[in-house]
Amino acid sequence: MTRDDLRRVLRLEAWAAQAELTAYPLARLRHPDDVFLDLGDMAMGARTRQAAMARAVGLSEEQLLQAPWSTAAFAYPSMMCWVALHHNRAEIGMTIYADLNRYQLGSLEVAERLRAAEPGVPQEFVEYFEAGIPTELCGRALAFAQKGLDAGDDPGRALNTGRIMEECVEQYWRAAVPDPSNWATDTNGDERRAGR
Amino acid sequence: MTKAGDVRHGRARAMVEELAGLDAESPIGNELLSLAREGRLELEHLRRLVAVELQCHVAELSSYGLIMSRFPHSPTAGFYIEVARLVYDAHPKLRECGAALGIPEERFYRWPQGPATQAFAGYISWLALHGTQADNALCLHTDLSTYFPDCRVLVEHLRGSDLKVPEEFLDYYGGGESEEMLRSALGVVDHGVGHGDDPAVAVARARLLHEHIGLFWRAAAGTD
Repeated sequence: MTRDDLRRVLRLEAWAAQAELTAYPLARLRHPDDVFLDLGDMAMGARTRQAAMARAVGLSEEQLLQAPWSTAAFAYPSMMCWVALHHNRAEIGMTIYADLNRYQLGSLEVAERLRAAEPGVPQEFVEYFEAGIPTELCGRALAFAQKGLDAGDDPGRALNTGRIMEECVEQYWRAAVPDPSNWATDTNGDERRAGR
Repeated sequence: MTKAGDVRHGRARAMVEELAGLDAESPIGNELLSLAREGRLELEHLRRLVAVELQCHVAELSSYGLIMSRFPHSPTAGFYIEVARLVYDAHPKLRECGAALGIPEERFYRWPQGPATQAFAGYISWLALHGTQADNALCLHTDLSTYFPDCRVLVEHLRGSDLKVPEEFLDYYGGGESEEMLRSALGVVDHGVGHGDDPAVAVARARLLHEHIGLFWRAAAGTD
């Protein structure tokens, strides 16, 4: 586990949280429900911890928010925005459930690997991934989906959308792995597509 | 793509050239056209194309509306009124293509499903919410100038093939981009850059848009 690996995954985390901070309020605007306030708190909490993690691996706030330019890195933030902007309650609820549930599995696994890789890994990273997501939010996302289903939202579509989000989370973790075709340079905070 | 001697939108044109350079270095393929070249194209692929595009239209209409609400002034709003009109008018024609190809009505907007089908819709939603004027307009310029030429190649291929393709489909995909609209896009890019939008970020985001168009064709080809 190198410093560049840590920087890469941290940038993906920051990028995801930024999209969430747009998507959750947008979803709440369209479908008012307090679950989005708690999801927003989760994303804000993550952003605060990410700032400390960035300092630990020598990334400035500006560098932290430089996007990784690959379709895999954008799969998750894009899907989050698309769902918040267009989809109904059952679809949004299932998408968020799928996200939290899948992310949590990956996050705990990452924490385990980071712990095994110590002492090179700053403690902030281990704690961040160990903490994962607040578990009660999964249930609340499902309860929100249920309100939509009770009002007539299509369960088949909701299931499909959730399934796609699961695949987006898979792509998210894949984007955290170095790939010479996706990541030109990790060292100077100027990650662009190879060739740029 | 541009009129010889037209010196307007110099900065935006330089950005378009930079994108062309990236594409020359590392071309983004079109998997549906690859199937056509290999003689493996079937009507089912055309059904997939129409069905994927129907889903994209929905995202395009609301994304363009969202951009107008973020930038409700000239030239940006005017440009998106034109583009939204293009998509709005195309949509019923695309539904007719779907019907002529025998896609059951109940499958519209529900099939096919998968990350590649959603990728373009997702990315333009993200862009509409987060992108600058230059980002969005350069992406749209990239969209228009890569999608339409590929559609024309597809139609040429189909006209020379044995597939029984409905006339509605050939008419729809045989149309082309408007030079005027491409110029308007560059005008918005220049306007954005002139007001502080980062040109390097816009180029990177437009390159990524092109990659998402690659995913669009992949979803149509069913190779995702």
